[in-house]
Amino acid sequence: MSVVKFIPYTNRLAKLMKLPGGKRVEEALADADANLKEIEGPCLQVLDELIARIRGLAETPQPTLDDLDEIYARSNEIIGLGGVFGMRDLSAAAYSLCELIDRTRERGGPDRQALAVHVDSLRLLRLGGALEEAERAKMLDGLANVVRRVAAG
Amino acid sequence: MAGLDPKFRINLEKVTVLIVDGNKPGVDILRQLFSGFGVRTLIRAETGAEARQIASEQEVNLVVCNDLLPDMTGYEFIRWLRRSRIEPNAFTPVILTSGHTKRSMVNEARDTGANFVIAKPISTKVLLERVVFVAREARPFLESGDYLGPDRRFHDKGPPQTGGRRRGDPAPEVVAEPAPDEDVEVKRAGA
Repeated sequence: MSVVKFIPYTNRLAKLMKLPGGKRVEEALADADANLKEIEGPCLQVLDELIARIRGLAETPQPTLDDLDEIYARSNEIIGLGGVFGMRDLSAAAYSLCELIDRTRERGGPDRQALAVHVDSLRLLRLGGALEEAERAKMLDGLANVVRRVAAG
Repeated sequence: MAGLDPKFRINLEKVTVLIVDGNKPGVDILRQLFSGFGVRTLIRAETGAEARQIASEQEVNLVVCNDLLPDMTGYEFIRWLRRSRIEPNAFTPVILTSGHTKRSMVNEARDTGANFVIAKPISTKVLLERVVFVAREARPFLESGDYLGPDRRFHDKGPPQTGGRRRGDPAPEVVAEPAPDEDVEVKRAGA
């Protein structure tokens, strides 16, 4: 039998949020989205730098485990950035790249082809409107198949 | 999950939010979002060590912590916070943000003591819904084995609802002790 101890506490956040004032949900959402627009330019620049960095590391003749760890870290950053600015497919491709590395790192990382197809997808998806929705979906399906195949060894 | 009523008023003006994230664009996004929601006091910690220091020195009402930090994992920081016994911060709602979670970290993520995990990319609407939910939720805080944090079970209540409190519901800031499960022994703190 496990012993469970319940600890009483006061939710201060709830108390503060009940104070008079504030704004409507619709205003809060609109204001937040407007604020995001203000930083879109610099964030997209960072996004391009991240993709360029990943490409540089992936194209080295023999990426080391340190290289793979950095690709994983940079790709993880792309997951958080792309979708916020309307590029959810780019975030999904970056997630797939992280998954690929996570599933293969113990045995030295993925093969070059699997890595290359992910990097190419990141570059293409960054272009956004250049691809039809169906093409983007097909691309993501392809990446999922690559991860499954490579992970299965 | 039911969405928030667009006409519902929220007030985050007096809320202090601690953002723990070593990634500048990620912090910029959260800062813009919370600023739009009406938060006036945002504190950023770039590392887990910095976050520990801040949490030790001043009251924060909401923590948003990335799972990857430069000097430790976000899970380690949250676990430290829950076990710190620093009042009231040890009980502060924590939203964990995560991009990709390594397979080796999945269990750690579940047991860390966060109130919620938000998968990146963060949507404006989802973030606000989660903030309102953690302010309203009545999950008890519990200590069981190595775990200390909000009850991980939602029972049959389903996913977080944010459609407003009913007249008969308890006040959200008062968290009651639930009826114990049959297979656990229940103790109150200090008992």
